[in-house]
Amino acid sequence: MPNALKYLAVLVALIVPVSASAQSQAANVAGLEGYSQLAEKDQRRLDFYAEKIVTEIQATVEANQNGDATGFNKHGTAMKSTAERFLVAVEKLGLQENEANLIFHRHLITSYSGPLPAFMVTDTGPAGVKDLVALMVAPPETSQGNYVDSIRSAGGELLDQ
Amino acid sequence: MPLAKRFIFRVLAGLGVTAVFATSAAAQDVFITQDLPFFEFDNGIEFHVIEREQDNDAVIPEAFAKTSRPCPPFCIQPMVASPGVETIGELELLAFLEDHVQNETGALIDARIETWYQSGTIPGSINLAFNLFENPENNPFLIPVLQLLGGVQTGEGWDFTDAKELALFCNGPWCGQSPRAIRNLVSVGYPPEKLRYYRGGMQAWLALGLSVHVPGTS
Repeated sequence: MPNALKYLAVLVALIVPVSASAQSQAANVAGLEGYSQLAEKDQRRLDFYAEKIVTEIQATVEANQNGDATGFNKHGTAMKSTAERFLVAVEKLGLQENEANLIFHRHLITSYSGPLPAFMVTDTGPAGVKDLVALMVAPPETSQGNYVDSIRSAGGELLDQ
Repeated sequence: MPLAKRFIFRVLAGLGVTAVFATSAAAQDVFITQDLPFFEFDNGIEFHVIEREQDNDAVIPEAFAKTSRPCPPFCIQPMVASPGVETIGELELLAFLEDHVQNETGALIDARIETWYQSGTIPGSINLAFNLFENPENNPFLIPVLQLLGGVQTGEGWDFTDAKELALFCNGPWCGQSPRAIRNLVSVGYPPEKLRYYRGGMQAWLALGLSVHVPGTS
């Protein structure tokens, strides 16, 4: 599917549930029944993380466009850790993945500006939060146990670092 | 970050742009303590996350980099602001947020004037500037403040039996604003054991790369 069409498909996928939720508001919004029954502080927690994921996606894309590798790493890492925290909160609060994604997508459509990056667009709609976490993978080898590491792990720091 | 896992972005493949960085990104590797990567709390109004800056090259903001402001008035403060008032550090402040601010039995008070507060404060704090507590015997503005904190006016003064636990801070160990507010609170009878002094203030907070909340933003 051409990217432009994918983007339209994502918009449709996002707008329909968001419009529906706007109509019925705090009552039982389709797909957000679990969320609407949460305590306000728990809703704030999920909304905080969902919004921050969107902010970090935006910043990652902008950093990439500007050739800012440091910013790209910083915001990409923040995106991942925020998405992980969001998923932890979702699990603790007993929500299903579909509902978690809907919460995230509501923030995506209200706060994200510009075309979605390709990694956010799938054939079935916008990427979910678990998809974002899966975008980052550990390399095969990680250095462990050398002398410098042991100093650092004990809280020390080398003067020339 | 030799001990931390490093991550490679698959994102790069999905950005759909020509720029490609030979990049990797570390997972969170600047924890608050060994067992505490970040700290969440909700003060009943907003949800907050306190964590440390993850950029290993980050430095303290310039506004807090000065070492030698004129003294007076910017003099080094004693470790004890007033007898019986506990002086606390960052971890005790987090515990205070969890034990008291989150449960609405206490308040974290930014005792600086509003312009400082608005430019960035410790998440979860409220702004009660030190000058609200000045001249406690003849200060009509103090009455609603003390009532807000749970004090009850009696015929002879104040009853602070059900008053909130408080932790106060200002700009750092060279800032006398929160110690003055503490001494004025004690002078009107606020129990010292209900007061805490975060002496490190914003300078120590920022020196550790801890999160700053700008009021009006989420």
